[in-house]
Amino acid sequence: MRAELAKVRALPTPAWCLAVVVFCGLLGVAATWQWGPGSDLLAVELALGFPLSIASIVFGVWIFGVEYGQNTLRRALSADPRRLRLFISKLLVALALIGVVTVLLHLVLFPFFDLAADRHGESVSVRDYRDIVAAALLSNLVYATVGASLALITASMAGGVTAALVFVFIIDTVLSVVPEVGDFSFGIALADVVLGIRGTESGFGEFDSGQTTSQAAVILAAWVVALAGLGWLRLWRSDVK
Amino acid sequence: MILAGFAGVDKSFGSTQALRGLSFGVPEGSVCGLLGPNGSGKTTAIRVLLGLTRADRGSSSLLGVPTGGRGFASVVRQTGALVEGPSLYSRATARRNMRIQAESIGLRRASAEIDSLLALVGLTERAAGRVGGFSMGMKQRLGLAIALLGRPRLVILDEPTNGLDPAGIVEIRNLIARLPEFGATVLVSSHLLSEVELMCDRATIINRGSLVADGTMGELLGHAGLGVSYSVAVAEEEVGPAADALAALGLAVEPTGGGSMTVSGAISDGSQVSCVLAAEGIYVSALQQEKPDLERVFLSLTEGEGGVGAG
Repeated sequence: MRAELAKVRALPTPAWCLAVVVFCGLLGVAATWQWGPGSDLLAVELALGFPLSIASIVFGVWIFGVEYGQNTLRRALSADPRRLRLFISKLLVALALIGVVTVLLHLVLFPFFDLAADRHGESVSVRDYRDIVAAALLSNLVYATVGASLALITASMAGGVTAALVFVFIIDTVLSVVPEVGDFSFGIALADVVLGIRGTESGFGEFDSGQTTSQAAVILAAWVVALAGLGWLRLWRSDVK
Repeated sequence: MILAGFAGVDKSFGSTQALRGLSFGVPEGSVCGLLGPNGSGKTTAIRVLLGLTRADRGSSSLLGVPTGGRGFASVVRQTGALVEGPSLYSRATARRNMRIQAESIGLRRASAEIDSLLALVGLTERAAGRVGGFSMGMKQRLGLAIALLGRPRLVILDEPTNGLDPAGIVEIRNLIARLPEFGATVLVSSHLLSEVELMCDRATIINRGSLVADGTMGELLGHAGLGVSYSVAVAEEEVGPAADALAALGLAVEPTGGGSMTVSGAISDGSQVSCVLAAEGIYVSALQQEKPDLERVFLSLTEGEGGVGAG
């Protein structure tokens, strides 16, 4: 675990991910100052939620993809050949850091969003904001796991990023509109769980599946376990070049 | 004690058989060269040994522990490896790369060791430089320093002089030859035979994934079946008659240009050659015994289908 943290400190991608989400968050504060928070704290969602989701996917891919991109997996396994340990420690570091950044960034920027909203005679409800943080935390952890899994499955940094973005934004979107099957898509399940956390009955119009939150949580867990399992299998079974 | 061992290891990649029943061992305290032409299976053997690649059949062991068996992780941490060139994080500094490796093998407070290893490989002044800007030689030296972290009992180096200039090759060769002083046994793969001959005390030769010869340098050079050869110089116009006279004794003669030729076969000593030629009225102007070098041994063993172990 310490080696993974040392890589996070030493290499630039995590720092760039952090810099970009901080910048976007500040941009969101500025937008709120200028135009107000929008309905359902849209400014927070767009400025913090969306960039953090992208950053979570990229960081999730990076945590494994960096070893393929730099050809250093053989070095990591020559130092400690326990592949399950490597898999778990990398995943835990990714999830822990994403969790901490998601929560901390929202907490740090909350007073600024509130101050900016106050300029327009509105306030940011602590309860709504807390729900947004909880939903963002869950979805970012899921996105990071998906990214990490796809990096392992493709055994590539660039392949992992591409596969993750294509999966989340294209394949899953297409899958979600297929009658019957769509209710079991990753994106719909995640949306249902997020809506459940935020206490909103419907927020995704035609994509709303009508599943209960617990049903959606089971479907989402199945997706995450399946992808992570495939990623682990690839790492476990493959010869390391 | 055998620190790195192979017992009947087979490994295929698709239809290509990379290793065929490979068996040999690296005794503790030795500097063992692993030799073979490109594609002979040297790197695959090292990857099998370290558990990076699974053998299809047979077994390998590291510091007496079977690869992948109980306690394997612990012995891998006592092994320094440089496999297929330096494996470095190019956006991190040299010191950071070493720090990451130190953390990976569980070394805490390794700053002093990192400094001394960077000094050993001559990278102290570039310690804070990003590895992406390093020359190939500097990367190789850093890779070697990383392999030496934690004072490993066994150091496995795969083509460590690749990409180095002549001065760098000499530097790395001297460094590798000194490793036993630090208590390390060394397995070094290379196709630079002269380098292996200079820095190793034993060698294993493989070809097409099979063992061709294995033994100390003395055993390989002495028992490779090459016999003794002599470089003989006579007047240029006498090369033909001289070759005929020597060939009549069953010796192999190979003119090498000018008035020179190489004579090999069952020769007791050099005077035998000069006596035979003097009897024909041919006088030798120079006569020098040529000892078989590793290159000749290697070529004789790897051309065709190889032979048996020498040791």
